[in-house]
Amino acid sequence: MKKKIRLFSAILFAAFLVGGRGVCEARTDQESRLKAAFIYNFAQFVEWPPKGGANEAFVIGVLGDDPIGEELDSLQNETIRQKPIRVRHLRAVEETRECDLVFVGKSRSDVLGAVLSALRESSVLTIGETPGFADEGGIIGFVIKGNKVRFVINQKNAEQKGLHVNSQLLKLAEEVIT
Amino acid sequence: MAKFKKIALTLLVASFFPSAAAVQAANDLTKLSIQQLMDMEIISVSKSSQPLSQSAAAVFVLSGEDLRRSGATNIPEALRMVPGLDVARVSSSQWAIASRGSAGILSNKLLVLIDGRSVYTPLYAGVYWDSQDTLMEDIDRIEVIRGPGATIWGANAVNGVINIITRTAKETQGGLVKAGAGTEERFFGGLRYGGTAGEGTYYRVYGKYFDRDESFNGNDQWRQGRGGFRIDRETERENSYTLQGDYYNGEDDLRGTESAAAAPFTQRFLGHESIGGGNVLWRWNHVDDERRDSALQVYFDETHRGQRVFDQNEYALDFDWRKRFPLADIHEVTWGLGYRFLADETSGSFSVAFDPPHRQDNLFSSFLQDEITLVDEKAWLTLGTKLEHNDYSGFELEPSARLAVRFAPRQTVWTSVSRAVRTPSRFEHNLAIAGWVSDGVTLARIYGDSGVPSEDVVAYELGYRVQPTDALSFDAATFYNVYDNLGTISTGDPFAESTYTVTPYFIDNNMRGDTYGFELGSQFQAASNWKINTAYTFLEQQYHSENDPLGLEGRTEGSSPRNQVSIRSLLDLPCQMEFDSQLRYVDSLVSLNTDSYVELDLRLAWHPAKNCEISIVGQNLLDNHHVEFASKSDPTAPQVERSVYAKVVWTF
Repeated sequence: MKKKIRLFSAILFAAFLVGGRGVCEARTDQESRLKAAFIYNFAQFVEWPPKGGANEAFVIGVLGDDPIGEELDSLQNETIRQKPIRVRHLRAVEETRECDLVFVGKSRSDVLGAVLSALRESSVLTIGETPGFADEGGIIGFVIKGNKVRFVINQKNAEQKGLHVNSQLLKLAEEVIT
Repeated sequence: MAKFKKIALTLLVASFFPSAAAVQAANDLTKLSIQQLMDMEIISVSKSSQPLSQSAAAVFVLSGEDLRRSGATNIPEALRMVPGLDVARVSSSQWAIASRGSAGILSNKLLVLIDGRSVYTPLYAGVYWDSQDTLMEDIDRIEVIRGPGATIWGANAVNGVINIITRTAKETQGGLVKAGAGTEERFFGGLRYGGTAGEGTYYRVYGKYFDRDESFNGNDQWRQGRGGFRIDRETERENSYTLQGDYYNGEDDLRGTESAAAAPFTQRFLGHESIGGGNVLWRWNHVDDERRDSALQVYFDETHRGQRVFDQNEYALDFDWRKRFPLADIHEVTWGLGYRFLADETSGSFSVAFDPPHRQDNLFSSFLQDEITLVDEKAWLTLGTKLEHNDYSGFELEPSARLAVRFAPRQTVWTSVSRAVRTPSRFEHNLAIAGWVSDGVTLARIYGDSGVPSEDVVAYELGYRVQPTDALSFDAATFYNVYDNLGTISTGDPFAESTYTVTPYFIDNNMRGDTYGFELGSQFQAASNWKINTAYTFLEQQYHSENDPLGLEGRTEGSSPRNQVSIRSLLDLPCQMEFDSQLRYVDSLVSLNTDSYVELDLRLAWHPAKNCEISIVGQNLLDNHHVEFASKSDPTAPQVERSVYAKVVWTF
């Protein structure tokens, strides 16, 4: 019986090795939908400093041609903090200052540094998905753990911009940078 | 895709529910809380991505975090946290674990799987809990389904299914060292290291050892070493592969009785049982698109146990294939085929033997299931059946119908009717067990009977889930089970053998039963740093048998607690400390003459650094010792003792 077991293990191992090669990154639509839903939820847990001018919209800016942007479009009928959501697809880095929340997609990681420095003094919630986004000056960065979406929060950056992140959200974060 | 790695829900949930999640648009997802979003899978090609709150079954999930904060040092103790499960510790290494009644050391109506590998022993179709283990830190979650799950999992998933799912190798990268010691847990230690081997290939290896003290009255010390590996390989987007295996060896001390044909006839002895085994499993998942996938899984498992009066070696080789595809817009069809080869070698004695001592069996199975979306995102009907053939009882049909209605965004009501069977095992068909009623004069002998059919149940379930606020959720499930052909023992005419008289008993199946009950659970986030979970379980069992000389009716009725209550609190303290507690009440066991008991577990942990955890755990703190599954007046029954231990876990 022992010999059979060894043989069987060897066969399984061989089958494993011939499995295939090469990894290609592909993102499912489910991931974009989930991230869009997270973004909507994040906004409910962040307090912005009071701004002049009443009854304006809550502006979500999207940088990059990402499926997440399209998913965010479907939020147009929802509200955040009693304000109707407006989703703007941004072309220029300067436009980010006119938003309440900016999402920087993977495809625009080239302008990431420029965006973050442009927003250094503005009360804009920055959300990104490039590795180390929250370390490099962003506020909330998505990370993937296993099959699930997780996030890292840079509380220091948030506070510098006058944004208050609710402790409930901090508790759910994979990591909080203070 | 029905990923086998979560064969647990994946397939059950997968099957029970419609694929609504996959087609949900972002504006629907906004109705979910962050916690719910965090529970969803991205590669959610399968219905497995559906939040639990929509499942049409009594499902409970213990997360890795729950396990970490419970202080449980093994899987059976961790199951005490699951509402509706009845966990009684018989001795240091033995547990009677049941769901919805019929508890016993040989509890046999619960199916247990570890990473998709069935771990019940074909010898009695129950679970040897002392050989089911892994590094607790590597367990991702334990999914428990109360009630039948036979349509997907097949025979023996009569009263419940427990799926233990470990993390992937990708999720356990880096090193982990843990060590602990205490009054009952005399020493335990574990090591794990995970790394990569080329692009897309991750591995981990682990080893662990523990030495557990005997319980009060016990002579039941328990030592075991275990090691294993797991390799996960992701190739192109559509394919992923897993290869994993474990090997273990250990020893349980025991107190036994041996009967012999000659003087001294009956001998009590202190001995031990050696336990060892191993397994290797390979799995391939293929995803075509969100609603189309397939999976192939093969495993081999061997178990050895040996003690003074009985030795056994068991081997299982299992193949499983599943495929899922859409039909029209509202149907989602899943089908599968399975084959299992079982072999055993036993070596008995005058006391215990199997006739024949060796046996080989084949099990063929197939299932077909259709999930129908009745009302988009609101109502789903799942119809399915399993058809299997085994060498003991022939063909078995296990159909089910499940309906889930989400009548408000956070309220779901579900109901089901299902049939499940527990097929006879070697125990019912081939057992021969003997004991002296009067030394050298009268011998009682129990014989198996190869004519014993399957035990079966038709279960009616109704459940309701509601999440009134982000911080509060309730889950209620009720059931009414109708059993037939339950195992009994009947007597025959005494006859002379050698120099003594034999009173024969025959394993039989003439008991019927009705059981009903309900399980309530709630989870409450009382503050951002304080979570409280409560559970209440009520169970009523009534069995009837026309020929029941041993009074099995009453014994079965009274071997499970009528009422169980548990309250669990998880509190985060300042300075990176955690304080967790669990209080549980378990009702008396009437037929065993076991008293009800209240016990308390406490855990205090401190994280001096991110990669280090130091904890002190106290278990069963309210009594010096107490009986959980034996007569309180039996002076030789092992009793669970108060236990305190300290543990350090360091990751790098």
